[in-house]
Amino acid sequence: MMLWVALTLVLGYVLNQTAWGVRVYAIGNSPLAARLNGVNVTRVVFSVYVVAGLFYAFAAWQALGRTPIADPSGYQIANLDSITAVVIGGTSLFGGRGGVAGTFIGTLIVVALKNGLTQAAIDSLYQEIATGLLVMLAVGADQYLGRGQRA
Amino acid sequence: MTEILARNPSLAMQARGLAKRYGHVVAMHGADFDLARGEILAVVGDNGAGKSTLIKALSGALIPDAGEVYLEGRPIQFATPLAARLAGVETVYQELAVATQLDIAQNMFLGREKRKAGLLGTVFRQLDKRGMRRQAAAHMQTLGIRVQSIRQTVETLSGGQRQAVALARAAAWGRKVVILDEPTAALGVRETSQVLELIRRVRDQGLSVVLISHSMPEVFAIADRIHIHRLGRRLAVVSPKTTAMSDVVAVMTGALRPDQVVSALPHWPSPTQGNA
Repeated sequence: MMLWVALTLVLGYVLNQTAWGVRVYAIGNSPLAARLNGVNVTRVVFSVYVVAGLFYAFAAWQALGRTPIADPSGYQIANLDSITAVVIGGTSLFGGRGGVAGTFIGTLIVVALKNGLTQAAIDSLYQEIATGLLVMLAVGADQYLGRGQRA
Repeated sequence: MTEILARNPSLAMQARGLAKRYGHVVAMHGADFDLARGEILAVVGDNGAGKSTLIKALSGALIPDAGEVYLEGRPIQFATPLAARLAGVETVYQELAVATQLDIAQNMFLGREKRKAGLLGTVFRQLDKRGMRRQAAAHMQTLGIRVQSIRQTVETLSGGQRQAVALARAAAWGRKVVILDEPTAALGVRETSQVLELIRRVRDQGLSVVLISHSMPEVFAIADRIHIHRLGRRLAVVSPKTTAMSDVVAVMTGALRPDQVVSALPHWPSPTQGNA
């Protein structure tokens, strides 16, 4: 947990206080505008994937601590949970909008929901339905709001 | 040839014999270009006349097959738009090239962010947000662009204000030449006049402006000289004071020969003639 708080703080700082962060937002907002302003879009996008890869590595490392075996097909729907967390946290799927703090809170919400459902002894099958509904709700809201802005 | 041009400091940018072909399509064929310092030069021409190709060659967006470009008398070759920008040539594109979810100051400094002085800047790469905002605000004020706050995101601005931000950015960074590719194409009437006023102010700050436009009234309202492009080359340069709008259109469409209008091209030594 402390690791994730630290990583969140570091990423938040990088995204909000450095030129790289501003450029990441700019590219998410409009890659064309970013390029016309002299931002090397390919390089920044590449670096974003590198950073993301690093975070997956941290996550995988922690996941290994939970299950004693390295199962190549483990955590298959974990990406769905991540997307839910990120979108609930206010990050736009259209790009250019969002923040690390929101994602952190979004993660807590998703985890709390799953935990709560487990504690209430609800079958894991129905838990998936619950997260699925949450994704639909979050993405739907994002699409709805996004459409309003584009228009 | 550079010596001859060096003696003529009134020229901001020149090009001689630019050519560009895409397969069988000849987009530019022996195009010349002259831009005096501190003037607004409008570039007009029919669709497909090669205006955009010319502008791209001048702004580094494409490399011409042949021909030379001179910036203040020195031959230059821009490999990328960034190289042109570093040399002091800024371009504003017709598609409103601003990041709408960033604020005005962030847009002004996009790609050229300022870092804080000292350890915070060098080691932690922290941005000098306050300094950038202050500079952006001061710059907007000298250009007479009114916005509520420098921190408001660009998406809250009108189309005219957005283009004003793009123009202010070009004026802030362009040390020599600002190229405007149909800056008013996406704007309404009132916004257009605001942007035109702003273009005038940019020129009054001493920058040379190249304005590509389809709107003749706009061109005649603002241009010091008009460069008429047709079939991939420059036909004539005229002054809006001595040539009527209908004549410009006639030359543009080929109804009038270029020698039938009064040329506004002084006998500047051209690099090629200078050599001969």
